Amino acid sequence: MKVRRETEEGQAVIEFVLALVFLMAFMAFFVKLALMFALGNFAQYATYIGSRAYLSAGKTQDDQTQRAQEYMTYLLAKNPESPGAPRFPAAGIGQGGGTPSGATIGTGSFFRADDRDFSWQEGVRYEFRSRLPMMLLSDRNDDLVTLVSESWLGREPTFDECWQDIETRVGATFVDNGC
Amino acid sequence: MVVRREQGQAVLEYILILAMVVSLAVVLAAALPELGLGNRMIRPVKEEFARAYRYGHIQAKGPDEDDGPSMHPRIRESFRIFVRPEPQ
Repeated sequence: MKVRRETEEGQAVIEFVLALVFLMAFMAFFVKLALMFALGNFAQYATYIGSRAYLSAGKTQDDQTQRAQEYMTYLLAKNPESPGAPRFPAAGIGQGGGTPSGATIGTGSFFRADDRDFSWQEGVRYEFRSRLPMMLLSDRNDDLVTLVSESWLGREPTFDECWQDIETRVGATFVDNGC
Repeated sequence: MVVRREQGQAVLEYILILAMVVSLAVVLAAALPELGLGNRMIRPVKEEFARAYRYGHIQAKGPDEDDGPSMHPRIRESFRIFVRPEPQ
């Protein structure tokens, strides 16, 4: 005769599954938060490196911009052939245009060359967006977090700009390249 | 021989209670976005952390924001390298 054992394991399994849904949601929030923080650190490094590349003198300003773009693309894009694709899409996605997507290289939105308070805003800015899963607690559009990393190191004059400056100073003696 | 067991009653009651608990959870889940609980939980990340990440301080504001610039580390009118704000 086959003996059938009655157990209460089923109840525990059902309750475990119900609790697991909430536990996973809780875990997912913190895992995504950690990913966003990690990308935030990495983006700070990338903007600094891009800004440092932009700072150094070149033949023209386009050379300086291109140099910064190459570093930013190398660090933040999936590959140089597709600069619009983010390197870490699970952690965050660049917002806006630019190369790579989300990056702004050059002067900032409130840059003013003739005002010391605002003339420093020249370098690299990177804006990215992450989604923190809030499950049932909020609407889907409310769980987006936008972070902006900025590195305004300035820009050295280009060789062409130096040459134009030298041409205006007839009879003067220059040290180095005149800038 | 007929064996009469009483476990059916326990199962039925369990299902009824489970239905009540699940219904309560569904109602709560529908009401939670209205309460703004998620917004309140995520606000420190979206605002304070975002400002600390961008400017280095949770109360700093850029020139492109309302009532800005304020506590921005690179603008002279509000220059605060060693910022120690009053509680607000």
